[in-house]
Amino acid sequence: MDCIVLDDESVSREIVNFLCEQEPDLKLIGSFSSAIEAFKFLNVRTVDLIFLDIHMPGFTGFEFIQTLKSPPMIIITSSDSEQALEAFSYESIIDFLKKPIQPEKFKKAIAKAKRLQNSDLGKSPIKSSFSGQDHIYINIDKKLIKLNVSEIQLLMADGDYVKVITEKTEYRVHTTLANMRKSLPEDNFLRIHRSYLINLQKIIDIQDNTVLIGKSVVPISRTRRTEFLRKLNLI
Amino acid sequence: MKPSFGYLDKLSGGNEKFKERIISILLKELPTEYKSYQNALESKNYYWASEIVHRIKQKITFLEMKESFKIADQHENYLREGKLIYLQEFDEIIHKILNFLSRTPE
Repeated sequence: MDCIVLDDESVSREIVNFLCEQEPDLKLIGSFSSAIEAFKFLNVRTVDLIFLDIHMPGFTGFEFIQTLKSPPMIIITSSDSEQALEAFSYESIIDFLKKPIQPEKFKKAIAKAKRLQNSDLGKSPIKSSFSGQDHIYINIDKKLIKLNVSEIQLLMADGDYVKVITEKTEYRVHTTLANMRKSLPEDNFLRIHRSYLINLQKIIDIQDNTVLIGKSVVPISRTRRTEFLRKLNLI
Repeated sequence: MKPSFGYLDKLSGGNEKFKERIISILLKELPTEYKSYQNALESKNYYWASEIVHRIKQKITFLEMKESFKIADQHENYLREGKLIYLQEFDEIIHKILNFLSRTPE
């Protein structure tokens, strides 16, 4: 089982490294102190398991998971057990190890990972709830806010931000449309203009080169029109 | 509240090289992190100070200092709110650890 560790604290990485060495079926192929380094690695390699710290400066472990389209199995390592509850709302997270990691608990978590890998669940990449269908988390002022995907009407690029418009309210998230698109189900969400990503289920009507969604009139760009119409036939 | 190598001894299972590696990392990083923490406090960047405390807090767990961990945890949370309630206690913890590590035979 190929695995990596992502933790900004070096002793924690050393300990995971040491514990992995004791497990004949585990091969630690990467050890990273920042999410960016791990991203670069995961762009060229696939792994079966990630040991992931939650509290890291700049990019939390939860945010890291959200950016993975098909996350592998993830074991959370954290010194704060308050995060355990949130951790289990992610399908890809299979266990939570509180620091300092106890060897016997590590062994149990690895046994679980092996069982899952040998089951149907482990044979295909585990989809997290984010790359799945029902909800996403958006980061607003260092708080993660849960949004039901079905309530999102559209997303609009707004400088360095993206405006997420739902049935009830709207949020301004510091990210890009391309990033948001990765977290949303491809079947329902389509970019019909450079600045707009829409939920196809929320279309009220289509007129010439515009779409009405809620109270918003969204332009359809000429280059994306064909793809848009083709997609509608699939719904 | 005394630091202990109990966890590292159990984890290493007698692998002295591993234990020495961990101690050398602690000895190398803790003074640097503590300095960064002090700089963050001086510049009143309490959020950054709390981030450093979070990292140090993990090192505290490896030395089985449960009460000190609780203080560091509260200190981290208070710093996030700009409150400096546990400054002295946290300093004492760091000095205790550095003292303990420096007395460890190479």
